[in-house]
Amino acid sequence: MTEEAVLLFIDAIEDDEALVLLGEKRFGFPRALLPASAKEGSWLRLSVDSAQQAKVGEEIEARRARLLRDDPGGNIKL
Amino acid sequence: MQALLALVLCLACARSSLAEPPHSASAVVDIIAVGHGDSILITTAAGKSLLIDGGDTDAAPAVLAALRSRAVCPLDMILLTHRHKDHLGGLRRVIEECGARQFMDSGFRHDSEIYLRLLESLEKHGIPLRQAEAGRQIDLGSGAVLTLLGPPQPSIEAHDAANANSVVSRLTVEKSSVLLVGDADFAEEHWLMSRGSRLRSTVLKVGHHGSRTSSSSDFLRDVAPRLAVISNKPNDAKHPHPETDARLHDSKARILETAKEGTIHLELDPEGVTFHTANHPQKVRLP
Repeated sequence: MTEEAVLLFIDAIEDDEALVLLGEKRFGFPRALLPASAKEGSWLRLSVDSAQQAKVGEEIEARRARLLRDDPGGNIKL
Repeated sequence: MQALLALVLCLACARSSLAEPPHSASAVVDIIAVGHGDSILITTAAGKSLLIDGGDTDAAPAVLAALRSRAVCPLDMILLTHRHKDHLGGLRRVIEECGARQFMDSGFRHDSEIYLRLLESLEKHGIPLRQAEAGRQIDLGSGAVLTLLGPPQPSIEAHDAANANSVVSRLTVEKSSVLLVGDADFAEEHWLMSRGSRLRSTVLKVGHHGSRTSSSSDFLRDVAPRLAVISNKPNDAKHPHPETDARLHDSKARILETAKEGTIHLELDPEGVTFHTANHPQKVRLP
């Protein structure tokens, strides 16, 4: 995969599954993951959300730093 | 008559002790049946407790039941091997409903919402975090010591790097030992071997539920386990993977799966390991 975003075509929706096309390859895709407006014939764009990754990552690192504040390091006796 | 009765009782006692010599466990390791995931409880005769991983979210009731049956709430420590959901999913409920005095994990990043929620619970309850680093030791009393052998430093870079940077630990009680490898894969096994880690262990908790990319032949040769335990879910054709299953059989280790046995209990004493399982309660002494 070299593209930044992957475009998928919704070929069919059957029960709980959407069948999506990437070129000539067909994949099953959970219907529950489709946006509300998606229907047969819609296109989906899959891409990495770097902004969300950074936002959650920053919050995690800040919380870990606070929680680790009192770690004396070294061996631990329970 | 009384003398005869005493003699019979005495002979019965002697026979019993010959059949199953008493071994007083210094530490007990419960490999809890949580389906696809890991959750391992260590308790010691000194009354200390440490939970390694908490299974997936839907495993929380099974984990909590195991903790309550051992009366270990609040836990002395929780250790998270890595941040995949099948290892951390159940921990938030464990923290909320059982509690813990300390929490330890590595700094290897895998920044999910579910991990963020876990950190929120730690802060809410004032549970301090400890950094998991190779070489750090945790003394559980009664001669039981957990030594951290990983995560690798520097981190292993890969597309599926969370597994490859699992916290690996080795529990010892004198001659008895259990190697707990989380979801370590070939790359982490190679790192452990290359730095000369002390791997030889009586029991191996098999990496990554018996997946194809864990438990290399070289690694199994170095660990030389007499018992290999797989934490897996019933009717899962991929765990253990047939190739891994073959390597484990070649290692000559006895193999137990939580999928077939239910929770597996190991009793460690200074001389060896005795085990039994939920489905086979008869105790067996490892040779």
